[in-house]
Amino acid sequence: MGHKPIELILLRQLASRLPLPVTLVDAEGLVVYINPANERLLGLKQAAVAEFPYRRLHEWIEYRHADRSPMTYEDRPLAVALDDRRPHQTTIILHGADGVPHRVEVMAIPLDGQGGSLIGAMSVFWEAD
Amino acid sequence: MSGPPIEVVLLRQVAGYLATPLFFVDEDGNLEYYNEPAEALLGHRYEETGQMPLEEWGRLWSPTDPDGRPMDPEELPLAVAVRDRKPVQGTFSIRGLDGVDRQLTVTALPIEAADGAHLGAVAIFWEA
Amino acid sequence: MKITFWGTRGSLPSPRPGTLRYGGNTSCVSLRLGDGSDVVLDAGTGIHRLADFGPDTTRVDVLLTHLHMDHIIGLGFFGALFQPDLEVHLWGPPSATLELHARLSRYLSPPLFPVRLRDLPCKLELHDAPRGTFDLPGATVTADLVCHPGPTLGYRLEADGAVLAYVPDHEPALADGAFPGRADWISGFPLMAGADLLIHDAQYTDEEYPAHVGWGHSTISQAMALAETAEVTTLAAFHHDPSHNDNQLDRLFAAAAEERDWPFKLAPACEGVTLTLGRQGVFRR
Repeated sequence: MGHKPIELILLRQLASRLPLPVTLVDAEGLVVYINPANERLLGLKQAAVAEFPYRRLHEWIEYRHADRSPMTYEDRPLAVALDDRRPHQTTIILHGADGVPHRVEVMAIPLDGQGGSLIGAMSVFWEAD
Repeated sequence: MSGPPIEVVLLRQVAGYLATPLFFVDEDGNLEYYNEPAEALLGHRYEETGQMPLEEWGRLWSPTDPDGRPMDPEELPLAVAVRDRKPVQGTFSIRGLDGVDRQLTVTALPIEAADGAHLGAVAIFWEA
Repeated sequence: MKITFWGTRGSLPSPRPGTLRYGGNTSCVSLRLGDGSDVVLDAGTGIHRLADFGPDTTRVDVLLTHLHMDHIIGLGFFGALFQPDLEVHLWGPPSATLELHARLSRYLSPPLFPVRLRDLPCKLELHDAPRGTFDLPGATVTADLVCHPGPTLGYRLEADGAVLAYVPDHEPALADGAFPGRADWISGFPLMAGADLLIHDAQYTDEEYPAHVGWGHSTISQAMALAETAEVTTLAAFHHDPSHNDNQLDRLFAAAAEERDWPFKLAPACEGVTLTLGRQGVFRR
C-alpha cells in the first residue's frame, strides 16, 4: 500500500475522532480510510475491506438519488470531487452492506495540496432533514 | 494535557497544508483561525484580524445573500452550524478587505470532540 | 559526504556553560559532498559559524525545512549571502499563495532586520522545493511535507553512495496512539526508510510530551521507535530542548540507548562534530 501524504495522515487522525461519518480517498481513487462513524453507517469494517478503489464501493453499498432512482458512479459526490475537482453536495439514499437504508446528505470536497497537486477527496455524511 | 483539544490542533495543522480555504470558529462562534488560501479570498491576513466575536467578523466582510440583501451574522452558514450543531451549506457574496467582491459557496461542519464536547465549526469555501 | 553540525538546539538558542558539548546554536547542518559541492540544511543561529566559502566554491544550496524563526534566524548572518561571486540557492516549503521571497521577507526586512533580500550581494535564487525528487550538484534530493505546525519539509539526500535523512522538526506521533504503526501512515516515512544517517527531532522526554502535544516535536523514545521502524543505520538525535543541559542530555540518551538492544546506532548530534558518511558507514572525524 502506497505511502499517504501528510494531508491524508492528519485528516485520518482528525476523522477518527469525529462523530460525523467520513470517507477519505487518495488521488488515485483508492478508499484509504473509513472512520468508525462511517463504518456504522455503511455497515462495513475498514479492516475487512482494506483499501479498495472507490469505484468498487457499489459492490457493498447501494446508492440512490433522493427520488430513489439509481445513482451512477459519475453522479456520486466523491466521484465529482475526484474527477471534476469541485465540491458537490446532494441528498442520497444509501443501503449499507448490512442492508439498512439511510437518507443522508453527503458533501464531498477535493483535497488540494499547497503545491497544487490533488491529494484526494473527502466526503462527510449527515442525516437529511 | 494542556493546550487546545487535539481535534483543534489537528484541524489547524491540516488547514496549514491544504490549498482549500478553511475558516473556523470556537463553540461560541468566535473566530479562531483561517488559513492562507482563505486569506487570499478574504483579502486580509489572519494575523491582522486575529480572534474576534461573531458579531464582529460576521460583518467585517459585508456578506450579502444571492438577492443582494445584507446578511446578519447569525444567518451565516458557520453561525448556524455552531448554533444548531449540524452541517450547513450556503452561497453568498462578500467584499474582501482588499475591496474585491467575491461570491462564495460555503459548507460549514460542526466539530465535536471524541467525548462529545462541542468545539465549534469549520467552514470550507470556494469562490463560486 | 562530510556532515558538520553547526547548530543542534531546538526552538531557542541556549548558549550557557552547561550546554557547551551539545551546543546552544539552533539548527544548522552543512554537507560537503564528494564532488566538492556544498549544501546547508537550515539556517538557525549555527549558520553564522559556517566559514566563508573559498574561491573554488561557485554555488551553495541552502535547504530550509520550514520558516520558523529558529530555522531561519541565522540567514541574515550567513557569510555566503554577502559574497558577490557566489550563487546561493535557497529552497523552502511551497505555499499556494505566497512566494518564498515574500515569506522570507517578513523577517529579512525592516523593522525585524535592516538588510532586505534584494540587497544581498550574492547571486541569489529562491525556489519552492518540489514534493518529490530533484537534483542538486552532487546529490539527489527528495523532499516532502511532514507533520509539524505550518508547511514543513523533510529532506532525503543521496550522494556518494550514502543516504542522509534530515527531519529536524517532526511530530509523527501526533494524535496517534498506535505510533509507529503501519509505515504507509507514518509522516515522512519514505524520506527516512533505510537511511544511513537519520537526523531527527528528539526534543522531549516522555514526561514532557503531554504538555507539548501539537507543538510539532518528538520525544527521544518516539525518535528511537521511528528509527527502528525505518531501519536506519544511525540516528542523530537532534533539536535538543533549550532547557536540557549537557548532563541531562547525556543521561537521557544513555538511558534510551540502554533500554534494549537497538538495531541502529544512537549518535546524538553535538555542535561542532563532523561525521563522514559513505559506502562504509558513518564515521566521526
